[in-house]
Amino acid sequence: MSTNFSSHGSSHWLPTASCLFLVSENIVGYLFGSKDSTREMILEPGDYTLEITSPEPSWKHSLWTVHEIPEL
Amino acid sequence: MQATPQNTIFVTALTHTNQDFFTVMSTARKNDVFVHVLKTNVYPPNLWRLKMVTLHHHLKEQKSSGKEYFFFFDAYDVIFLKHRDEILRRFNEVYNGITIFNADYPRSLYPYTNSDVCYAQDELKSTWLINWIQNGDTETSRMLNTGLFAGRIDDYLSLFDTVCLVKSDFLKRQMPFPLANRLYEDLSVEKVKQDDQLVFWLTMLNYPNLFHIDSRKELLTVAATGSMMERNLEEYRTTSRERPLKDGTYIGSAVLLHSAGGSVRNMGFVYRHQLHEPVRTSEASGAFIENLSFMEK
Repeated sequence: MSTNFSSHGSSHWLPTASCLFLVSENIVGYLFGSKDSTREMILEPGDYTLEITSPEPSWKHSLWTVHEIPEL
Repeated sequence: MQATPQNTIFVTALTHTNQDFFTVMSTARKNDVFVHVLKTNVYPPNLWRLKMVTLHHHLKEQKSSGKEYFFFFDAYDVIFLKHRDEILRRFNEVYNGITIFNADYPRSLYPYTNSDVCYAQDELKSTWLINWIQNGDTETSRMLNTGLFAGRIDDYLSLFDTVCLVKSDFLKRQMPFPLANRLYEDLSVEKVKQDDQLVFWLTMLNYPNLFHIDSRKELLTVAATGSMMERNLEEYRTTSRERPLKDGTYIGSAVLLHSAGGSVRNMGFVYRHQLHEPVRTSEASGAFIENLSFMEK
């Protein structure tokens, strides 16, 4: 599974996708400005990549992969 | 055999999915460290199962697919300072065949408590045991911290078997440690069942030779990043203090920092020193520096 994080962020991502600070100065402000450092975000198993559509040129990085471990 | 990018994995367990998690991952990304994030349906405070049991499961699987070495780090308070290749070079220099753990702050034996409450600690009660572990060493910390450790997978799997035995011995009141009775009185059974770090240092009491604590900060270290406000990060490697290894802001030659606790205050260090994946345009960079200036006042 691949998840795209837009540098502009959709309304869907903005409340939770704090990873956006990777690419946008606005999100740096968001990070430091937030007092809520415990906000939860659900990560589903799969490969996560960061795909930047702006600024140009677009680029894409592999970030991490989530492995679901069964309860043991 | 040495650790290489091909035979080494970097692993974390998804204990918290908050902003700090993404900060950690941005420092990994900047240094070309690809991370295996372990997720299970266990939640804090059961860090034993959430971190250690899942790690054990994953390492066995990865071993069977040809991986030889691993780095494990907490998901929300660890900072990658150097490129993956430099991290592995340092590891190969320092590693002596025994799993290497970052040393905790001097005089910190977390969580020494008879309480079941999450993050509880009875610091004064642990003084006698800290003195026992330090054995007269007043210059370096021998306190084990499980937030950051690395080694050969085979060695760690063997160590983990021993850790499980010690945990069982504690719960059955059969530990061979000569002062075990005092530990039975002082430590909560529920805490031993759930806290990974507690079980590991119980094991260290019984089998100290199975542990390599990076007391000299040669590869890994805890760091009081919330108090580290110098502009040049390298200054924290050349402190003029008389007893630098006891200083929480001295990082020695470490290439990974454990900010022990996370939070915006501690992980802001990443942005003060631009240790994350950089922004991509000159306009954005300017704004980034401007935004940071208020942090330094």
